[in-house]
Amino acid sequence: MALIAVNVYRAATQAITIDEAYTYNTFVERGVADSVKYYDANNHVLHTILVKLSTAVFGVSELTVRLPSVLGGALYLTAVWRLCSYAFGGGWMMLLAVAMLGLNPFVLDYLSIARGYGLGLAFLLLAMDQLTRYFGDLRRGRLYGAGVALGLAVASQLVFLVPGAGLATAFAAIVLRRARSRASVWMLVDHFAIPGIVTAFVILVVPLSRAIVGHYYYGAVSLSQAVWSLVAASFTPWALSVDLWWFIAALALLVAASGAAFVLVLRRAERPGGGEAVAALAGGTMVFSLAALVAAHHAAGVLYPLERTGIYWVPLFVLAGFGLARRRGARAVVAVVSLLCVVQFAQLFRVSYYRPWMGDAGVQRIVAALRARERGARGVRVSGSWEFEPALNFYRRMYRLEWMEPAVRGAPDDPGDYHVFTGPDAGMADRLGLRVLYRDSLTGAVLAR
Amino acid sequence: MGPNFYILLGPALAVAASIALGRLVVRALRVELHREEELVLGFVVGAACLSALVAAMAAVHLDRRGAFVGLTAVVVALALWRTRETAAKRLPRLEWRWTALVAPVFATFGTLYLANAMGTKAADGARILFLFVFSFGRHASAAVMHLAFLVALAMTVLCYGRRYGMPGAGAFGAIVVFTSPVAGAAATSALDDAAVACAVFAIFYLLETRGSLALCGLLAAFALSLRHTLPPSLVFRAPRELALWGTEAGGLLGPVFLLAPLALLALRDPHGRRLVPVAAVLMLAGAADARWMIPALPFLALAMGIALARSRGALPVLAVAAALFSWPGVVGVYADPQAWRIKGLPATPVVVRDADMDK
Repeated sequence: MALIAVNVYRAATQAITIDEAYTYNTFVERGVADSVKYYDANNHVLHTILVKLSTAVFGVSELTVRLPSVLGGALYLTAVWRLCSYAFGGGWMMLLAVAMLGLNPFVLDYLSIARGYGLGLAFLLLAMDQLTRYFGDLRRGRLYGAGVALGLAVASQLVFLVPGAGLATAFAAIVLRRARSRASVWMLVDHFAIPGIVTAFVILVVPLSRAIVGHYYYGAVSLSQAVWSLVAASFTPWALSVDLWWFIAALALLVAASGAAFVLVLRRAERPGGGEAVAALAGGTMVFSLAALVAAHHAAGVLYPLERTGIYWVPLFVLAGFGLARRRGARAVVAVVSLLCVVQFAQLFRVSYYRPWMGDAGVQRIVAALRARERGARGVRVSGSWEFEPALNFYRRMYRLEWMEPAVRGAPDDPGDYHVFTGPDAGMADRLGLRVLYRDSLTGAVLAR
Repeated sequence: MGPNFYILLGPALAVAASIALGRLVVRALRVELHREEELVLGFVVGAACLSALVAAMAAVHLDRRGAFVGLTAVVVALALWRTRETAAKRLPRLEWRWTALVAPVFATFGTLYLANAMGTKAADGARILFLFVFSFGRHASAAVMHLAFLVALAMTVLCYGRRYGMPGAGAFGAIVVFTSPVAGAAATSALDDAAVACAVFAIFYLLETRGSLALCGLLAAFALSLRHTLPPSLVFRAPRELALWGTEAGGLLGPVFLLAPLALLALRDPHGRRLVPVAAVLMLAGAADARWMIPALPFLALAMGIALARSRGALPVLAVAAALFSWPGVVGVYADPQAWRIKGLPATPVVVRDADMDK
């Protein structure tokens, strides 16, 4: 509950970021037809639809734009709690696992920022929870719920296609290994695969009608870059002092061990228990996802996940690690590593900015300074660093700043009534002989005239 | 009488005459059909007979409005008299949830199609049968008559599902076929695609019901008279081109047909094992052009319906999506602007002058 409250607080108070504002301006504010005709990887379809609903009902503000993500965050934390309490019991292992999954600053950012990643993560974990529990009670409804959840995860952000397909394959392999008749195959098809496919299809088919591979330009060119982006996102600045190869070795070991757990579960006749099922599912998902990513990279030039597009690896690593730790020695190792991580997470805990978009954190205050100076005059032009263009246009609409002309992307020295510069561009104010009206203490961004 | 009255009168008489002729033939051949089947299959069989009669009348220069009205009166009276005491059994009732879905979709798209058909100003197909209706309302009447075949096709698909205990698959298939953008565009033009598709599916239906081979032969001849050429080339369009864009494919089938590979799952069902091969052959034959794919649609839609029927909620969700994605305003969002399709209600009412009627 505390983390949900933190997410709400951040969503309500933090300045809009460039990606959020761009998504709002391009896909939410426009009519449905326009937002479909122009496709971009920034359009996280289900999330965009929910933001449209939220802003239509509650009006435009940082909180209403982020409301779907905040709800996704609440769903994620609920799914994490359910899954961990089922798989790891109610003791300290469960609490540690929840802390590892909920306090990671990289993940935490996406549980309130207006992007589709948090929502996708929530549905992925929900599916994993349902599939893990299925091994315990064999309730068919869990298959249906998991299928729909995976479909919604993919509809929230396409990157979840990879772990979604990986999880489905791993689960199907375990179930079919024990199947005694063809009916099990059809049960999986009818109650798991088809609900997932239909759910994702209905939401995505029209928005993706013009999508091409070239739209997916954000990614890593190598696996090591992909791994580094995930580590850096979770542990910077501490990670900067450690050789990348230690991380690669540790994570490779984790993938191999959980992959082995998956194979062991496949070979055994009995159904896996909670922790074992989680390790096997996480391991199988990682192995299949990795294979798919490598194959897609070499066959079609698809880029590897980079930072946020690989966010699903975080819960997979954590769940695999906790799932594997069933003996006392292994538990101790996992506990120590987790405690160190949680301490590190606590040090990185911030509620004043989103780490990947730290430079945007002052734009809200800059707009407030601008509003304090301009009241009702028409045709005020604001130029400066291009990075602020989407956010300025977002706030222009949010506050109905009729006196402000729509911001356009141009050179920092383009003429204007006011200039807004990012921290790195702040020196431009002096070079252009402008008077600095406001300087943001957190980001160094300036408003000048 | 206004011009729209004449536009509708011709097809109304032709449909009545077709149904009457069909019932007479079906009863004469002692083919056991249910009441609903007698209506829709009877219409197709009757249309084949009527086509032959119209050809004969034209040969002796009797192809005039008065003669066609007289013919209709005679066959309708004859049918009423011959079938007055023996009512066929009804098909199992459609569940209310499917009725609640099918009825508004048919009413909405039916109105849209009828308005567009009545606005048609050029004719290019359905051969001799259109001579009957052309004498009443020219091209627009011919288009309305062609639309009747699409309605009959969708109803036949619905009957198929009801007859074989899979009403969901039937209702889904009917909605998907009826709302397909290319089927709508073709049916509201005075072409022959919907009529061909209807005849082909009726042949399959009659074979399934162990019906009369004579009727199958009659319908095969009818289909051949409508379309006696095969698609000219073995060009295969990309799935997105055929289902979504329609840039070069001469129209689009609708996004739901991107899920066509799922129809393979119907192979586990005996009906699916008969529908899928027919769908595959017709798709291969027509993969160069969306219009040529229309005969494959009922088979494909039914097979998809059978494949997805066991998955709770999948069919209603996809049926609603199919209708929504096929609405002209929505099609405009994803299809090529130049794609052949219905773009909305006609802007201007059609005026058919009496002088034109008499020609």
